[in-house]
Amino acid sequence: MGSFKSPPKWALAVLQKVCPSDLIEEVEGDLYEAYQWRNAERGSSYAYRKYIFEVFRYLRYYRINIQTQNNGLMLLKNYFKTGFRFLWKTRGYSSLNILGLALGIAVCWLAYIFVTDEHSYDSFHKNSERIYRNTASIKAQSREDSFAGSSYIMGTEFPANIPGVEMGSRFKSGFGLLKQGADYSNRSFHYADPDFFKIFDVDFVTGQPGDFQQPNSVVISERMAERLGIGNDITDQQLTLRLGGEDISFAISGIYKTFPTNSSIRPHILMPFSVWASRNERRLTNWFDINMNTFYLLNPEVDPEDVAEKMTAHLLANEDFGDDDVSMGLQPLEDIHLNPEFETGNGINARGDNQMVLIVSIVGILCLLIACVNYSTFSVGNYIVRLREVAVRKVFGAERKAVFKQFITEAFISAFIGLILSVGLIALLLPGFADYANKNYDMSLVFNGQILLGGLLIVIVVTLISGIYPALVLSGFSTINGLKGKTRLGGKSTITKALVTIQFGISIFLIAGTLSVNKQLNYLLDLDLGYSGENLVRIFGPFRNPDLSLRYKQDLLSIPGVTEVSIASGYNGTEMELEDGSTIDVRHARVDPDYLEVMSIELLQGRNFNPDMPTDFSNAMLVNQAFVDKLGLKNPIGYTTKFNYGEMNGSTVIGVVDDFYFKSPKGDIEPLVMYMSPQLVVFDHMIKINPNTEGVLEDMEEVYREHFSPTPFNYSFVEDDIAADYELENNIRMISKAGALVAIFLTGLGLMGFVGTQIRQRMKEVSVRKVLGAEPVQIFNIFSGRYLVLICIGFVLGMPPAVWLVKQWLADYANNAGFTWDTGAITMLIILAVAALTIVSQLYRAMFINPVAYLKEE
Amino acid sequence: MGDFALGTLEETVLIIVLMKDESYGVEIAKVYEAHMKQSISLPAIHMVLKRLGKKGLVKSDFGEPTPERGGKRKKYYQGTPAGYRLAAEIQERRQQMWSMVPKTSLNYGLL
Repeated sequence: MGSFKSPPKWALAVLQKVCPSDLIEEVEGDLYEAYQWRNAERGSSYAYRKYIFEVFRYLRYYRINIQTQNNGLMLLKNYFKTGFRFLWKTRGYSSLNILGLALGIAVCWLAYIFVTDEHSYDSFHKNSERIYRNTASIKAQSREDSFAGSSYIMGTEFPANIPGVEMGSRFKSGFGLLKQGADYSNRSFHYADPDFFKIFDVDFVTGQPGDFQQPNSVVISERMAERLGIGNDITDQQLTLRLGGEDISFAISGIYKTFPTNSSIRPHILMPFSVWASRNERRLTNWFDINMNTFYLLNPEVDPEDVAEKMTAHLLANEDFGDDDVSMGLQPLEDIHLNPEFETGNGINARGDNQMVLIVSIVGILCLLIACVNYSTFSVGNYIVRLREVAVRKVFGAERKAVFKQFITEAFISAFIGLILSVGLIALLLPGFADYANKNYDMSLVFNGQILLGGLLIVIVVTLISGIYPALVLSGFSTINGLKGKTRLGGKSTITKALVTIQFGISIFLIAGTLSVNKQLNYLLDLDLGYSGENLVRIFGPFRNPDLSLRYKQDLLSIPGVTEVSIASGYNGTEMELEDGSTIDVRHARVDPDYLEVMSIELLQGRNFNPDMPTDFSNAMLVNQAFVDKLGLKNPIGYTTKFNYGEMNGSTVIGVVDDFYFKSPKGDIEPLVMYMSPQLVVFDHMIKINPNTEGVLEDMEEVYREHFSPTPFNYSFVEDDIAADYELENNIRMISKAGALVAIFLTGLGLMGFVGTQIRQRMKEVSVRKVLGAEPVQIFNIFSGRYLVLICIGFVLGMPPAVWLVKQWLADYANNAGFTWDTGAITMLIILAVAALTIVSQLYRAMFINPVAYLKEE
Repeated sequence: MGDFALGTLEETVLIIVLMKDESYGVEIAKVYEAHMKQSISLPAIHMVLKRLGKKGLVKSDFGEPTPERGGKRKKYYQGTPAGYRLAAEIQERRQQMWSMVPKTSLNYGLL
């Protein structure tokens, strides 16, 4: 004997809790023995199932015991029963009401999912609270700048020399071409130090963290392995990357679990930092060449600010910055995703957007609030039906508290049904929402512990908010009046009116906000950018040889359908030294003489570049109007500077172009300098095409292949790039629009319930008026007048916060549409239209019914 | 018939208890399954035994703790004289009634 399997402990605990003490020994023993017997005869899973089943059978047999012992439980059961009965009795209204609740819950739940996801970033690492990354700030006389990152040498020296830093790992992204078979594709990868997997805990599927850092080897994520078609067996597996023009093969020494999606760092190919170091030897000892991230694991005992101060001291001991005030800082890992102060980049994934988080939270909470108010007004509106019941309960000894509990229970029932329905609504809403929130959400997400808990939390909040007002009103009603059928509740409609007004206020707030976002986006889309992106294709490709660029350009121009070609760099920033020795910040770009033509940029003064003049390649520049304005030049042509970027050596302004938005029009136009230069490294190829020519893109790809193989051909239409720049605005517009629609729908629903009950109570009055000759329009006026007042109060409540918030939001845009009166007017019109429609739908009966139907009752 | 009406399951369990000097829950379940060719849950047996005990047809006693029961004591059940008499009476009546069923009748098919 000896080896007895043990049955599930939790079931045993349940049994011990419930079974009367005089039976427990026998029952427990028998169950145990039966478990062994069944285990031997039919296998463990059968015995297991049977054990649990029988424990619950015992519960059933002893149920009577539990029930009679607990009075409260019995009452609660009764509350549920009457609650369901009432819902069923008023099923028309109830289903509308619960549907409204479900919609509010669904929107709020979605918001909850999104917001918790955004806030959960990077917190899954065991040591996440102790992980920091470097930031640096520099204060010179004229400017102040702070940025995230560190230099290579900091990553070596700080962990070694600063007490409290347990370890550190540099982290940087790189780009190359991944070779798969004969094809190459663009691929980003990351460099990291040996301690990377000690700082960030990610499990290895194959191999161990220690295998990382073997020379000429990389570790890859599970997803990458899948994409490469590598199973778990990595023996002799290789990964070939094309870096700087040569194919390099790396052995794959391990596969780690893919970082979860809520991570700011998600490398798929990780290679030792030494690979980068061996290719960038002159950057290894420069203390302030900040071009990578370094993550540190700090000792839990130390204060990060102290450590940062020591880092600053260490930096200053090694490098002299003259008069500039330079300091290092540490940013917590969990802060990265939502802190807008520091840019991402260098291997950090795109940051979350605080505006989006804020807007989604506002929409979620407000929609839920409207839904709750709907429920309240509806329940209070139906109080007459319940008064007798409440009075009878009170006569039989129910205290005020008990009645209160009853109505809270009913609110809970509705909220819970709403929650269940909202799962269906979420299934409908989720794909669209995920799209606009830039997330990969699917339904499995909803059925996760934390999210379900959030749903329950919402139900509790809904229960309390929506149930408390009806519960107070009904429990406070005097018994005698209830039995006599006196149905006027003191002060009742004042609060209900206030609630309806708040709903209007919220709707007006959301509609005005949505209209403003909409307007701003349209404004940006209609803005004259100063250049034309029409039929303009942008290709990205590395150029190293000026002769090649000319041949490439000729080849492109020989394609039928290609009308103009210009080769230019992107826009970089630098400090430009002026004749008198002072400096200004400028953006600069290398262009060719065709650039202005291709981009349709207007030349205001002077002349364009001339490729036949050798000095134009070394001493000439075009500037934009912003540059002229910034320096206050009266006569810009011929103005000389000490600009000596690359092979330029002092340069003279030969022409001034009109301002154009070379960067996003969300910001200002900065001073810009354009120059020609033969030594070109990376280029945008701007190509104007005739879109009606068939096969023009294919032909371009062929030319591209001839010159750039194996780099894959990537192109985009400039108009698409412009649209992509407004993606965030577009997403905000869609989400706020959806939110406003839900809000207005819910408000309409609430108004319908409110007006409906009011009209039903006044049917007799309406009938008498009609008998005396009132027209339907007059009847409409009697009722709508009072709601107009409510809407106006709502407008006064909802508009100021909307204006304030929109102004805050617009302040970030250099070009904004502003908040104008027409937005307010349209908001008012929309809300009036919805209110009028709702009231008419309820009044319809009253306006057109034969008055006899109501009058003959008496 | 006496004061007590017995259900079919009660009767079956009573007979099983009477088969031996003493028997306990799991054992009864095993015998039941062996004879009736169908499974039964322990709670059902326990409830039946409890009811039989209330009617005075069986009595129970604790035995010694054993390892196969996880160190719990067995509760042994024994038939009482009243139990025995009742069971016997039921069997007799049933036998009598059965003897009145015609042994050959075309209504029930072949013999």
